Amino acid sequence: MNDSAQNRSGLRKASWLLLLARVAVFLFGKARPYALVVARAFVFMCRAALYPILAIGVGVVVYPMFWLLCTSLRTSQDFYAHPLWLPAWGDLQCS
Amino acid sequence: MIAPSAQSFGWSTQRWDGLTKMIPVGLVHFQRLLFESDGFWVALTNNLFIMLVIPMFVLPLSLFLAGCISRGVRGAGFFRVVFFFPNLLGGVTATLLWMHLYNPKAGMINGFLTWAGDVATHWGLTRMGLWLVSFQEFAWLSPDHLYWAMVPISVWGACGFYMVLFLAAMQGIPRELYEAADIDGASPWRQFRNITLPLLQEVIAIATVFLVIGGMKAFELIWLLTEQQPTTATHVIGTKMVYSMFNEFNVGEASAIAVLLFLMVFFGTAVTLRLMRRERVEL
Repeated sequence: MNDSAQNRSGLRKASWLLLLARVAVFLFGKARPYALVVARAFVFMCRAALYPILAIGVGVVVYPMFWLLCTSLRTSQDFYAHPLWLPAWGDLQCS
Repeated sequence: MIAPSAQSFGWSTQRWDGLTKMIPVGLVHFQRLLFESDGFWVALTNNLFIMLVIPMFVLPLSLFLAGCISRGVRGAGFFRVVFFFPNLLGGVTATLLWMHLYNPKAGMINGFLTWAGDVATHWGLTRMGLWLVSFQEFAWLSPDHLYWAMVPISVWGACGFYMVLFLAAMQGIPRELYEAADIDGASPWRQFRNITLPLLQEVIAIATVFLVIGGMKAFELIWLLTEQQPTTATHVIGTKMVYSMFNEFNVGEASAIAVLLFLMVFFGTAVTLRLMRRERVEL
């Protein structure tokens, strides 16, 4: 490994350590100017993590109603044969 | 307002089936309900379960959802409408929907758990798979499990309403407070704990009162989930009152239950408000 590669590796390690130190100061120490940067990154990550949580919530709320709607369009035989899954569109009946 | 209440109290001191002549019996119905019968206390315990356990799930989850949406996620309007949607269905429809979901043989809950069990077994998680498969034909609405089975129903139905309530209150909080906290390096959790929660104190108190009163007045959910035939173990005060009135034709006892229910709602609300009263936070 040549000198420039070693330097790059060392710099990478140092930057990681610096980031960890900043997170530690942010979490456990007093507020510092750079804490704002970490806070913004943290807020961004939290916000990104919100979408999967909200999507699960939407699924939990909507799927039962959708299931009810589809069930109302199925025959009893079909319903008792495959209660959980939604029917194929061709199997839906209106009478 | 006072005349029907006085009439109800008057009937509670009579023995009457609604058709024949009334016979004054004094406070016998109250005495029987409170001191000689377990039925009333069992029903009250079930009411207490609804009053205490359901808010423990509904309030934090609604606050969490409101907190998520109020922090400016994209599609906040969509999430707000979707989460509020179960409130538009109405209690009876929602209960019938969940009765289908809880159906032991053809319900989605047991179907999903059994399917998840099969998947877990397929992936080598045999123990977990067998446990999940054991829910096949599990009777969620049997008297032993009825009240715990009600928790998801209530959470599903109520969270949207309380989320909108909290969201409206959160939108009244000045943004400058959060900006100042941001500059000071406060984490989102700390901002929520030190800014949002104290300023929502009154709304949370009102939501708690709504849930406590709702728990005390619970009727249609139990009535429908037990197919209009609650047992002694599954009665709440409301179903016991209707059962006494229309199945046993005991108007006096039903009126006595109504009077006790009124007193409990009145004092329950007063105590809840008193416990949650705090010094008003001035902005």
